[in-house]
Amino acid sequence: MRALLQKDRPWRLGFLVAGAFAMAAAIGERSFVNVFLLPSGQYEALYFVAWIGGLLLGAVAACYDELLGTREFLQQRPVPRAQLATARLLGCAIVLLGWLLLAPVLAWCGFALFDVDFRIGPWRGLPGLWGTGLVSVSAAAIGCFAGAMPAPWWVRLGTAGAVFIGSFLAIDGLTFGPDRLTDAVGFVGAHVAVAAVLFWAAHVAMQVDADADRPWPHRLRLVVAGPATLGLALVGLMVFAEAEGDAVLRLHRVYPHPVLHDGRVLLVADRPEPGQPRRVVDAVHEPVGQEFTGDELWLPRDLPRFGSAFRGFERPRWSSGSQFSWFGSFEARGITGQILLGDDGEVWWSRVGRHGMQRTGRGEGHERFAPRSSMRRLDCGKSTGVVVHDADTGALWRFDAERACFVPAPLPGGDRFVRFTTGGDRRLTVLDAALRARSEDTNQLDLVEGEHTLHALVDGVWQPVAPVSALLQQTWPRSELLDADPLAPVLEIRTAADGITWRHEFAPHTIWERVHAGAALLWSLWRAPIVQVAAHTAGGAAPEQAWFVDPLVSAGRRTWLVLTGVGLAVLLAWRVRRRLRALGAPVAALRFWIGAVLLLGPTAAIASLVFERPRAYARRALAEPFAAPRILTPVTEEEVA
Amino acid sequence: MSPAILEFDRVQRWFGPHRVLQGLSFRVQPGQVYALLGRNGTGKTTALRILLGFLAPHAGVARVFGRDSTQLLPEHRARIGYVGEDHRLYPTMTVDGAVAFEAGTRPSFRRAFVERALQRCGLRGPHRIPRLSRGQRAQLSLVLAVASNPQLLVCDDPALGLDAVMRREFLDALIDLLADTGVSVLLSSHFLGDVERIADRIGILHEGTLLVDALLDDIKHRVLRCEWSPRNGAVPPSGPEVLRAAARRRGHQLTLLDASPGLLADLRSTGDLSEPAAPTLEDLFLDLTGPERPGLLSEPFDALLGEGPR
Amino acid sequence: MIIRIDARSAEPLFEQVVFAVKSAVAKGGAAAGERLPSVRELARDLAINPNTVMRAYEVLERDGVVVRRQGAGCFLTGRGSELATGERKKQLVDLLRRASTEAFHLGFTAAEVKKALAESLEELQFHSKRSQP
Repeated sequence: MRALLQKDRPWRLGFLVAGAFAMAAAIGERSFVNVFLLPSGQYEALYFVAWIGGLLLGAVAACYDELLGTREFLQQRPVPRAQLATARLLGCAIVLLGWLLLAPVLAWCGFALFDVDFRIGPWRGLPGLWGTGLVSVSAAAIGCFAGAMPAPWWVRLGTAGAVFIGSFLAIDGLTFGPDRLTDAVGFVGAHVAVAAVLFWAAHVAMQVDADADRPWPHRLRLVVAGPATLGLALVGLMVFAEAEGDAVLRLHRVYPHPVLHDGRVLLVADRPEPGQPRRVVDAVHEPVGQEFTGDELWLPRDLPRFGSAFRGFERPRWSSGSQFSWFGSFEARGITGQILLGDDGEVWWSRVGRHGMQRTGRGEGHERFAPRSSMRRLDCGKSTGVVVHDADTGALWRFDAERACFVPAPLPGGDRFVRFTTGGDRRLTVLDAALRARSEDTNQLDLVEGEHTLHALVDGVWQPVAPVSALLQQTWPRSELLDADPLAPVLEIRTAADGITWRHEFAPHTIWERVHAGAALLWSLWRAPIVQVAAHTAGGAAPEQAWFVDPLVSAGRRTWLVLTGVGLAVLLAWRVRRRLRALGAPVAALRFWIGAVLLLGPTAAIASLVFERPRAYARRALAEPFAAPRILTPVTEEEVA
Repeated sequence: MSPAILEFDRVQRWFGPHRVLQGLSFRVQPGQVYALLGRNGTGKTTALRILLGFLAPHAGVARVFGRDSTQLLPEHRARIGYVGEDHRLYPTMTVDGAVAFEAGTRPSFRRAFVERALQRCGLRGPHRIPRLSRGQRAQLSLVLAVASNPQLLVCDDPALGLDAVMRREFLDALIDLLADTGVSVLLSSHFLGDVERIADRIGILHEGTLLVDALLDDIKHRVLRCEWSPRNGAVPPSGPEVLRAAARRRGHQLTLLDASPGLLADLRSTGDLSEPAAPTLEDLFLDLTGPERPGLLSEPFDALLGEGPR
Repeated sequence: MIIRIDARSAEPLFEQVVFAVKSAVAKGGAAAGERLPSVRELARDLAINPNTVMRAYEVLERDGVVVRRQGAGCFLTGRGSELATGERKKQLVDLLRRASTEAFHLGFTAAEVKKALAESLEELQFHSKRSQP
């Protein structure tokens, strides 16, 4: 085993050094404050370096001997194949462990050398770094798994792509919560699970030689083709959802718009250019021949949102990060600087012109605020004041630069904090004229909304601004979705001023509406049957989950569509079975692929085409006897002796 | 049957639609040197890869030490030495590193033996593998392959790309090995002169099957070659005794197997017959596997000179 | 004793070795009791398979040309071999056949050739030099 590890030292060393430095550089891209002092909780560069490095590491670890052409030179040794595979994975594990340990240390050393805010101090940032760097482990497992597949290059590359995109996006989609934070336990658990399963599958795959002219052993089909098919199915799910969402969006674009005209709500076809006549349509979206130009109010038409399958390819977000604020005087007098409030309530500040962050907090004792407290710069007046709202007690604290700490700043008149708010455009808000005059250089005004009134902080003193009700009173028409089916939503619009209630049941009527709705239905058909059945029985889901929970069938909608999808899967399974039987595949292979197609649908059928090649099953055996050599010396006893 | 060191039993193998081996059968006895000859692409390397368990046959079985080659255990592999086609070694290692690697992966590795052997060819030390010459790599490969005292040595075209001196060095090393250990050798080669010196038995592989599987001495006794120019338009004889009758400008070149006196007398009576002599291995190889037609440029030149086809 | 072979010759190698030893004995180039090179030495010298040398030695032993002593090697018995004679005779015939072919093309008759041969034999006083035919 030592010799086997020794053999792999070149790539191990290369990856360890290059990867650790690259990851350290990716960490160092943020400042010391953002990484260690008040962790921002999101490390974009580290995330990308980790998965790219991991994929490369895994692929090289699996294909090293193949790349050097030493595969057979290695295999002819009296060493069990399992041990060769174990040595490779062990090498991989060493590098990954090295990355996770070395990268933060190197980054920390870099900060010690170059970052003015450096101090030997809080280590709160480490879990977030490790959690983000963990994707290198699962990416390495994916690279290793795909690289170790005894299959042609294009299948390996495709598998790597499918499993990587499928698993990473699925984990991302499932663990990214509505609070815009990543569920740490789910994220770490899922990545560790992916890594464990795929490393194990790679270990199995490494013990089989590639041979395009023989079918895979069934164990390999289960362990290797299984995860690859699942990855492909996940990618398929997203691609089909994306296409479906696109069709729904196009449908919504061609649906008519409600407008308020002459005190009546009318439906008009498409949004015309300004000045062009509006064509009025009836309940089945047919033009009624009536046209008018201008003088209408476009009513809100909030049709059900069909979220994109994924939020891009993004880093996990462990915390909402620290809140940052400048404070100081507009006239450049007094003390100017910056304040950072961490997600855990810790506050640090630094003064312009002086290096180094100082810890601060509530009162002279610099006590920590409650976690998830919020901070806002209220810049009315000649200087900016920074106010923190303590999440636990609800008290307001104002930063006193001279004392270098937060001091209590209760609202006057016993009013209680509701939220920070923006006063809005100065032309619209109801600010005191004197107040307006004192804040010439800003259009946006941050205020505190109390239970009774709005408050502005002017030179450290609260000043009531206007009654809340004046600001909040809504006269705008409101729309409400009575049925959130993306194809046939039911919309209700109420206008408070005119007292009108208008309702419309959208449904595809015109040709284009039918085309787009049909496209959405067709795309929905290709989704994995198991997922569709689950979505059908489950309730509605957030628009962001639309890639997984199809809104076209969720909450019991369109049973016929689900059944058609299942029927399609059955048909495909039958076709796959016929093809495999014609090839001469064993019963175990038939069962595996039929099961996969019934559960995962068309993508599994495509996978069966990729993994069960006719070439592997070609019937080949020549009839005996074979031609004897033309010159033959029979084996004699003398020769044997 | 006697226990053969290795045995191919009706082995068939395809690559896509190409039949590479079509029922290959032969055995190598203990202590024997078996040379597998054949033109490029006739399946020599495929046969050796099947033997070492890198490739599974589609039908038939290859056995090493009586064990199915697709199920070789480490204890079987420990008794096989292998010199690959291009003397493949880890390009990342030094000579010392390569020796250490072998020592670490082969339980019966004889370190002192290797040290002395490498000293002899001046290879000891931290030489990087990519900087070695082809000949040095070949030497190192052979030394490493025999370092664990194998019972079977498999060499896939070991002389390929070596100059005459290095080939002789390699041959001498193999002879020493044979003299001292009684190892069985299966080698493929294109250098028929070397094969003639060292092989006990040869197999000529052609289009996936063996044309010849015979002791070298036996071949020399049984095969005769002669020139024959017929009189009065006599046609060359055919039958099992005639391996080949190649048309020459005048008459034919006949390669005969176990020629009976009667056949020779017949030939003498129907034409002029040169004194029959045993062909060299190279001549025999060309006769059996070479093209029937004359040289690549013969016909074009004939046409150019206006002689027309014969 | 000098043993030479031609690896490219049509004759099997082990027969060449056998013949080389026998002819050395026949020519008087090797005395009885002389030790033959070991299998390994000879195989190395000739660059041929040791198995071939081994077989040649076995044939020589069978023919009584050498005797093998356990652990010490092979030694010449000193007995000349009849087999060498046949081989030499074949060479002689080859030689004469070539000479007669040349003579034929020069336009001599058979009688003239015979006479010329007898004359050259006289000049060389051939018969008295060797005891063997």
